[in-house]
Amino acid sequence: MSESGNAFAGRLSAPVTQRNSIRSAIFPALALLPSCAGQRCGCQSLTRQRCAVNRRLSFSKDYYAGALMVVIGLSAAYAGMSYDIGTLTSMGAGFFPVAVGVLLALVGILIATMAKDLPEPDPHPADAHSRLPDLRGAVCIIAGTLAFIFIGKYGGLLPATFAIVFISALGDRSNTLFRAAALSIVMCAIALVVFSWALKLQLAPFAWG
Amino acid sequence: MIEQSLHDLFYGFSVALQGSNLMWSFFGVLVGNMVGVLPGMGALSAISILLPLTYVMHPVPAILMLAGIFYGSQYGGAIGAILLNLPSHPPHAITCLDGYPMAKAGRGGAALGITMLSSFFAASTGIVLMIFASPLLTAMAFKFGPAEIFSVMLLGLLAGSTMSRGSALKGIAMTLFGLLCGMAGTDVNTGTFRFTFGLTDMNDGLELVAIAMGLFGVADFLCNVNRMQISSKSLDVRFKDMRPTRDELKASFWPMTRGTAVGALFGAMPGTGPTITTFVAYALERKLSKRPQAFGTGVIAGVAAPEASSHSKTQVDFIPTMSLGIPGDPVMALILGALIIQGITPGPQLISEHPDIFWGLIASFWIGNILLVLLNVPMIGVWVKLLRLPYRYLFPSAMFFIAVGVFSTQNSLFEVWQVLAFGLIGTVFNYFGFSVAPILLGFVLGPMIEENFRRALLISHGNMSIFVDRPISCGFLIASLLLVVMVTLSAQRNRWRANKMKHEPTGGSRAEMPRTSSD
Repeated sequence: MSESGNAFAGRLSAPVTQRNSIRSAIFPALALLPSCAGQRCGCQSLTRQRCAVNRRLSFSKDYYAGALMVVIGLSAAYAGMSYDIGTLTSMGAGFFPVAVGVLLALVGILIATMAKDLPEPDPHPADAHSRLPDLRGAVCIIAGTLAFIFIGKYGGLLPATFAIVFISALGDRSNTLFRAAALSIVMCAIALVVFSWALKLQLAPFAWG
Repeated sequence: MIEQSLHDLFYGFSVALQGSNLMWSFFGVLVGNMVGVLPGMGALSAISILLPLTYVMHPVPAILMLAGIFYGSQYGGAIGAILLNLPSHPPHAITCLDGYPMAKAGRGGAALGITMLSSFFAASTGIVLMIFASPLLTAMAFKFGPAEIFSVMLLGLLAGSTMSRGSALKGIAMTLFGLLCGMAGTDVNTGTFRFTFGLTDMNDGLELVAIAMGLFGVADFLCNVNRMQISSKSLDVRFKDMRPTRDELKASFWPMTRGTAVGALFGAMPGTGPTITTFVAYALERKLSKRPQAFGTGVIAGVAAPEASSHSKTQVDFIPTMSLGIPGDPVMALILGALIIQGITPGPQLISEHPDIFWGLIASFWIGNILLVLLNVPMIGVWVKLLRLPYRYLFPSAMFFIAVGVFSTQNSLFEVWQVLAFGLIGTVFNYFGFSVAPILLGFVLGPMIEENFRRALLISHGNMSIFVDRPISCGFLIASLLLVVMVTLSAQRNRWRANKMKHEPTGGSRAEMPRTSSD
């Protein structure tokens, strides 16, 4: 009983103390790691200098993040104006887009203003997501997807499958041409058997023009 | 009451044990387990890839399969988290803290054994809770009109966005963005085309699968390619290593029970993410422990408690999802989306109108969990082999499955464009430190929340006070307000603390926590 009582107390106070209790619980283990920020700026040292650099970095990032939200929100609201807004009793199609767009813009402004204050160091280190993607990998994945769309339209499923797997595989720096080709051929076989034959995908294996 | 529940449960078993339902359920847990083990793939990617398949299926097997993928991937994810320090599902990030040190010390097998044990225990407790709590909640849910539904959804959205990872404001921004995405297409009330950019393909709105795959598949690959480093040292685990010692069993019993309780409590609150649950369970264990400083160096309690909490939460989470139509986390949002695609509206009437789905699902949880224990314990060697699959083969193949999967939803290449667009959007948002999961929550709930908002104001002739006049609705609004106040206060306190902390250089053990975006 005492356990569940404890858990209950934990739940009640969770929103307030959530970060703090988590922090105190795992701070020694987590917060001091070579943090994501360290990787972000490519500097490995664990000194206070690093913190300062990161902080500045994440400020400016938050400025842009807020600005991005303001832009998205305002353009949504602007687009919403062109639909009928209506009244509260009978709302038009534009009411919700305008309301949400304006809210988003306000939140964006808040994000940007909060960026001035000290943001806490991110408790989640080793964060690949807050860095820009690897150029070669990203270009290959995007190019592969585009190739799938165009070749799928004019050439059919199998060439498109080969294209997307082959081109994306080349994005990984440890893949050779041979490995990429082998993987693509395996995937083409799967495409033919599973998708074309068994699931009757509405995309012909080969098409001309 | 209890008799009725048992009777319904019995009926559920008869549904879940039907040949085809059982087969799809098994297929789901198998795929889920496999995908969970694969580095860099989580439940969200697996469900998104298989979602198109459910369009042609009967609703019952479809839901059983999707649910199977969900909890199956949690079992599988624990393997990667403990042996490789690589959580493919964010809640496992906490399991890594003590699981990986144990694996390095050669006790990885025992950690896995305890994980399976506490998962099964917690899931079973969660299921029992679900059986008895759902009818009660449903009885209450019948009092819900448009105003109440709007308010509870608002609470769900707020909780979902503020309690997931990172800054609460950013979470709210992402939810709003998701709401905007949900508006694209034809407005159901007036027939106006909104946000279609003049494209006829957009008239039907955006595709849930495309958004999910873009945000959680493509964006993840874009971030991880050439960045994912996997060392395959601690990978020697065989069946006989999995038996924990008597001391380990004893040490993990109470943490397991407490973890289950934490998970159940959080599961009942709509919108609280799974990661926060494991955080709290771990923090609680650490606080209660006699040797808190040992946590992070391979303590069995640090594995048992978070795993138990995430599993009991998973099961209990189905209660608000099914009976109120409010998903607890993005995976639930996807399952909710699948139900809606099947023409079934989750809500208080679901249990009475579709008892086969509801009770069949509950019974299949049990069957699925037993299957998973059978799959994982004797066959651990196979899964460990799967862990060695290099990322360089994994992501190109997954790109192909994503492209074909999303094409098949509408038989149109336009959906592939959407995947690509949302992959890029997800990457940009990730780069700016947004966690993209609330987008999905907003997207799924958006149309419903707009509909109910409009309807409520239609009833009250444009009088906003309808939301505070009705007691249930008012309660939820007060809860939302409290949530906002509490989050603001805690952010303020954190800022103050961080200010104080930054002057003290600190030291501690190191661990690595790679992150996936599906939190």
